[in-house]
Amino acid sequence: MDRKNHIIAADGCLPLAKQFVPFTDEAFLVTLANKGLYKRALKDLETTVQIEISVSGEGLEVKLEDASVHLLPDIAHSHCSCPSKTVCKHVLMAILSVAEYAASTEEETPGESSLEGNETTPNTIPEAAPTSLEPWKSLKEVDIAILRKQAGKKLFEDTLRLIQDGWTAELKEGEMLEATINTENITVYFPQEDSLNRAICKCGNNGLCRHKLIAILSYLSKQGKISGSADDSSVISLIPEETMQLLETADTFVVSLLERGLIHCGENEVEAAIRFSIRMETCGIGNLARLFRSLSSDLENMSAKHIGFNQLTTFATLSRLHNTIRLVRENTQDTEYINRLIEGTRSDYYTTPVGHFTALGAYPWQTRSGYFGITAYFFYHEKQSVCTYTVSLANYYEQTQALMTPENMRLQYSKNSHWEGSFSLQTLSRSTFVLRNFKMNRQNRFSSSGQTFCEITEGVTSSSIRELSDINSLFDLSDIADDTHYEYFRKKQPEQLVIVPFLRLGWVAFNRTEQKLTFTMERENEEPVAEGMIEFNQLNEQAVRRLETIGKIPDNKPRFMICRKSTGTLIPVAILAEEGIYNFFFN
Amino acid sequence: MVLDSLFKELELLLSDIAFTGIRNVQPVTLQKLDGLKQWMKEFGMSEAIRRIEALSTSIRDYQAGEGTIASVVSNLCALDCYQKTVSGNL
Repeated sequence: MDRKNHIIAADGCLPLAKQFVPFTDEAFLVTLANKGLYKRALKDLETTVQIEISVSGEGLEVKLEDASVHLLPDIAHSHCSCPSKTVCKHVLMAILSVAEYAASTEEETPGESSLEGNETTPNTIPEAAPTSLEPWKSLKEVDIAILRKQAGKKLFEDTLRLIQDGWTAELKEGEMLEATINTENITVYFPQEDSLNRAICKCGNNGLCRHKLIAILSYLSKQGKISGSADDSSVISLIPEETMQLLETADTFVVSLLERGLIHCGENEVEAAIRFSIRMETCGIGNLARLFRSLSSDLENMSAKHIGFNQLTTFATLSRLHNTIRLVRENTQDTEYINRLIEGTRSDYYTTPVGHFTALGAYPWQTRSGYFGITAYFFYHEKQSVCTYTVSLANYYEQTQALMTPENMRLQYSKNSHWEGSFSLQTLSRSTFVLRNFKMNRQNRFSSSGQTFCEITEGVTSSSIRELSDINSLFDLSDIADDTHYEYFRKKQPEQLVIVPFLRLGWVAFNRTEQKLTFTMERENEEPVAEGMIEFNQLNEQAVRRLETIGKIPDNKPRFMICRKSTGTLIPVAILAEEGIYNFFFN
Repeated sequence: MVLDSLFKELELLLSDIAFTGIRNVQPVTLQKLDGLKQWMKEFGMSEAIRRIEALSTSIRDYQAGEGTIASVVSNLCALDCYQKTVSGNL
């Protein structure tokens, strides 16, 4: 029996008590409970007359005046005899008093602590001390497959992408590993021993929560295990076993088609291709899903002797399918390589905690395949890239055909129906704002998720654009004509925007044969900066007239033209003047 | 321009193989491949020669029951990838 001031400890308590010393950190205890309980525990400890500590199983039994706490090394699972169902002030008092006992005993008997308790255990004490083990061993050797299974595929892959996008937790190694997720103001603590099971998160979840996953993957990223190298077998692969099996089966199908020949394909092959497309979509491999869908249509056209069948295109699809699948299967451990080969599905949105955006205008569009809509552009400051938000409708339905009019487009443009229904495209496409909890896909497209919270900061003005002047890609006109480089495995690139400073529009001319308006953007002394072009159609009619008017009445005001890059020319989206963004397609 | 036509010819020949099936490749198709190889030699396109040779050999091996279909398909698709990359950057 050992008595230190008001603490009475039974024999053999010291080795176990030492494990609790790292837990006395104020920030940790506040995370475990809350600030109020922590203060209350400190205050009550001052007035506590007697505390008894004894060994109980793997932990310690701490008897306080009004409760008894069973303290375990896995601190989150410690429990108290009081009615509280969560961590109470007694648990905090128990941790503090046990640590106080361990610290004071060590101070009094430096170098003799190994003799504490029963005489048969002198060698067990250093072994029990956590510092004798490799710190955070279980974190370093975590089995990614198990982690993925515990977290669930969706959560795991979303989090992995966040980490790859640079949203890592801030890590600090001390008595415990502190992982602070600044965007959510949350800290996760990992003890040195059995770090994974004993991790504590401020959100209170005892299992593997999203914050713990971010912290673990950030740690692995720091250790270089998420960087992607073919030689490192511990690198995280985005290709799970079931996807590998699917890829193998799909490749066998492609090989069998090429062996027998397209001419021998029938309805069964059409059905099989569409089934592979659906399964690829489910596995999140968008480009292969699209290729299989295309193959299915081609085979169907061939069977029906439809003019749409083209032997060259169908072979190109088959060849691309085989080449992509083969390379994916040969490089499963190389994350970077896999990311270059695989495109996610377009519906594969992942949540990002916070982002700052500057709007760059909006324009209406229509496609030959039967869709129309409005796309707004935004500059995403954290990723230094351009994002889009699109509202679209299909015009091949009878009830939507009539909606493809400039009037309806203006209505859609000014309707408050985005992100909690509080904002219109008119507002969003002309403002700087902060988005919280927003969803975006790999093509930098926003989802219209109702969970997204939008905070408008101010309207975009010329000064907002001047703040972007360091972003060379936004002002680079050099590669407009140089879009001829071909890459077999190049993914579909997000649209590129360029901001062109100009004073006036010159050489504004409408070509009646081609139904196109061409113009040049000019600086002082009629020096041309770049050429622009806009096609005439029902939705662009107003924009064509506006640009003609601007060209006829030069006012020589410094402005910016926000344009989409196209091969050899620029397609205007909006004009940014001193007073703000002018979406001339709608106003 | 001649190179462009040559690679278009190669693309057509490869798609013909895919259309009729590797198991149905006729000697005349292999002769056409050899003809294209000779043209590639004229232009000193060593990578094209190597890939066409690999495809011809693997087809002959497969027809003789010595090679696998997987090897033929890999060579066929690799040659298609090469042809598209060169044609795309001419």
